[in-house]
Parts: sequence; structure tokens; C-alpha cells
Amino acid sequence: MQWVVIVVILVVVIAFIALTVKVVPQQRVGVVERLGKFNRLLSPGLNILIPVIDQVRIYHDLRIQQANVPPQTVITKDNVQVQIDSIIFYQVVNPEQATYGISDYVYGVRNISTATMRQIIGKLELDETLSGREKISNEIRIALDEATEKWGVRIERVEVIDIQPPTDIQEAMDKQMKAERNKRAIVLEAEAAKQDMILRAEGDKQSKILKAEGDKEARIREAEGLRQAQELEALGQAKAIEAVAAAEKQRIELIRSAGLDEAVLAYRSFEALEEVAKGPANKVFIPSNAVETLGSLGALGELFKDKKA
Amino acid sequence: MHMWTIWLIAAGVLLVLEMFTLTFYLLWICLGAVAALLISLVLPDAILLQVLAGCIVALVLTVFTKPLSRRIRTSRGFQDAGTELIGRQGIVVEPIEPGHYGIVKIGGDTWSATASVSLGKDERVRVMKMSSTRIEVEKWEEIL
Repeated sequence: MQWVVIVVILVVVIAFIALTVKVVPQQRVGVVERLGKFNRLLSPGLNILIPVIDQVRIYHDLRIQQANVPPQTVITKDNVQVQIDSIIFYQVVNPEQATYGISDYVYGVRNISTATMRQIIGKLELDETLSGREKISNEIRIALDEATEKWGVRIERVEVIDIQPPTDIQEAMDKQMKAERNKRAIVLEAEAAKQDMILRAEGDKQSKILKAEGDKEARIREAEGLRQAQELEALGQAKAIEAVAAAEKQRIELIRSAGLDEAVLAYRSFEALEEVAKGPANKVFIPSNAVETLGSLGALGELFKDKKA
Repeated sequence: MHMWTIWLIAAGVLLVLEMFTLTFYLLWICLGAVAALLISLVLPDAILLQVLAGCIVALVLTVFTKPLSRRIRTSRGFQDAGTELIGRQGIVVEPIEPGHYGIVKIGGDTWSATASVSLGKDERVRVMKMSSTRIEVEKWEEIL
């Protein structure tokens, strides 16, 4: 009998003390209800409660929590189904609201994030969702803050880990990219060829022009030279002719002034004969009627005489 | 086995448990067991008296925890960097129109913010008020 009393007393006292003293670790907070009504928050450290009357409803962790969202199939504006894998970081900022504002804030946070993501991505086209991470996170921010204001939970960020378009679309995207690159390569090549041809043609043209110009100048110079030469030649000839004529005239005059007569002529013709005979291969036969010939010379002399008169 | 050895064992076990768990009430029960131990040395046969004495000591110590806890509470604990925003400077990321929410970046975190005047992108703002997920800002003006 005595032992039963002892055990009962011990159990009651231990339970009593256990309900009274509460040590709350850092970054955690308890919500205390006094007879079912919200009374206060238990801050970190040593806390004393009135047993039975005060009750700790729930403890909240104030650190940033992570929640993985399983891959969601979302339809974009251009009707492509993409799988989005995301992770949510959230934090309890107001423990009272987190306790009394929503029944299960973890579940709530997960649901509101996926719903918001769906809504935002539904407004974007596939290409935008793949590149517009910043835009998505900004829009999610505003939409989520609006929803979670009353929950006492702040969603720090929603990180999109992976956006996976369906395989056929991905293939098409790859092809598109490849084609784009090919196009660029071909265009570049064509441009290079064009430039090459232009440059060559220009060079050709310039060289031809230069050549033609050179030809022209050369011919002009040649013609000029020819003209000058011909002029000079003609001038020379004219002078020579003049000189010859002058000399002839002088000779004739000199001969006339020397008193040219038959005797001299005869003498001279003999001299000439002598000269002819001197040649090594010549044999001169003076015919017997040479005298007669001489006589005919005399007749010639008459002729000259006539002319003088 | 003598009664006092049982109390000693109980006190030791409680002390060790207290050191591991740091719940504090085990320490008071442990001290109660020590009180009972002292009684048992004087009156080895009055077991009920020992138990009552131990319980009373433990309860009294618990009641006296209150002033102790108050002193502990005033000591400085860990301050979450994200919780104190009022007066801090932020930069507008998404323009704020009166009546609509924009986004302000404060030290790496983005917050939905509202203001009484419209603020453009990249303007500097000061946090005025803060609710759980939204803040109210005003234009940052350098104090002359």
C-alpha cells in the first residue's frame, strides 16, 4: 500500500515538473494556449508554464526550410507540355499566423507554389520559359507573397531546377539550332566568295585600265618620235638637195668661167680613155677609125658652140 | 540494499540524463533525489517521508526557476539576419506603383514591397514597415 502511494506521488510530481519547465532551443518557438486560447509565444531559453492550464500547441522551426516539389507537367502558352522540377525555400516568420491561419503550411506552400508556377508558365511561350528565369521568379514572388501573407510563412524563393520539354520538341530544337548554325556558315561562305570575286574583278579592271593607258601613251610617244624623225629627215633631204643644187650650179658656173672648149674636151676624153685602159682586166682596142670618131667629137664641139650662141 | 543507495543511483542517473538532454526539469528532480538521500541517511526507514521531502524540494526549485529564467531570457541569443529589416536599405528590382506591389531586393533577398509614391527600377529605398511577407518602403534620402 505504501509503495503504491509513493509511485503515484512520484509520477504526479515528475509530470507536474515536466509540464512546468520548458527549454526551447534557438530558432524554435512554441505557441502557448491558456485554456485553449492563444496566450503567448515561447521564446528560446528557459520557460515556465502553469501546468495543465497552459499548453504548448505546436513548435515551429524558424529556420529556412526546403520542400521539394515533384516534377510537374505544365502546359505553356504555345501548348507544349513541359516537366518542371522545382524546389521551394520558405520560412515561418509569424508563428501565430502559421498556427492559426492555415492547417498545414508545408502542404499549403507546396500547393500554392505549383499552382502559381502553372499559372505563370501558362502565360509564357516555351522559349521564354527556358530563358526567362528571372522573370518567372519575380512573378512568382508577387503572386506568392499575396497568397502567403496570411499564413505567416514567407516563401524565400522558388528555384526551377529543371525544365524539360518533351523529347520530340527537344529534338526539333536541336535541329533548329543546327540549321541556324549551318545557315550562318553558308551565308558567311557566300559572302566571302562574293567579296573574293569583287576584289578580283576590281583588280582585273584596274590592271586592264593601267595597261591600256600605258599602251596609249606608248603609241602617242612613238608616233611623236616618228613624226619628229620624218620631219627632221625631210628637212635634211631638203637641205641636201639644196646643197647639191647649189654645188652643181657653182660647178657649172666654174666650168663656164674656166672657158671650156673643144680642145680641152678632146684632151679630157683621151685622159678618160687612158683611165679606162689602166684597169687590170680591161683591154682597149682603139679602132682605126678613131680619128674619125675624134672628128665626130669635133662635131659635138660645134653643138656646144651653138648652144653658147 | 539500503535506501540511500537507491536514491544515490536515482540522482546519478537523473544527472547524467539531464546532461545529455538539457531539459532542466530532470536537474530539479535529481536535486530532489539528493534531498531524499540526505533524509534517508538520518531516517533510513521513513520511505514515504523521503519521497515527500524529495518531491517538495523538486517543486520548490521549479517554482524558483522563474526568476532564473527571466535572467537567462535577457541574455542575447542568435539574431536572424532576415528578421530585422526596418531601416535597412534596399534596391528596387521591379518598379513599384502606388496600390500595386513591386519587388525590392534587400541583401540578397527579394521582398514584395509597396510605397506611397511610384518608384522606378534601381532606386534606393528604406524599409518602413514590415508584415510577414511584405514590406512598405519609402525613397532613400541621404541624411544631411
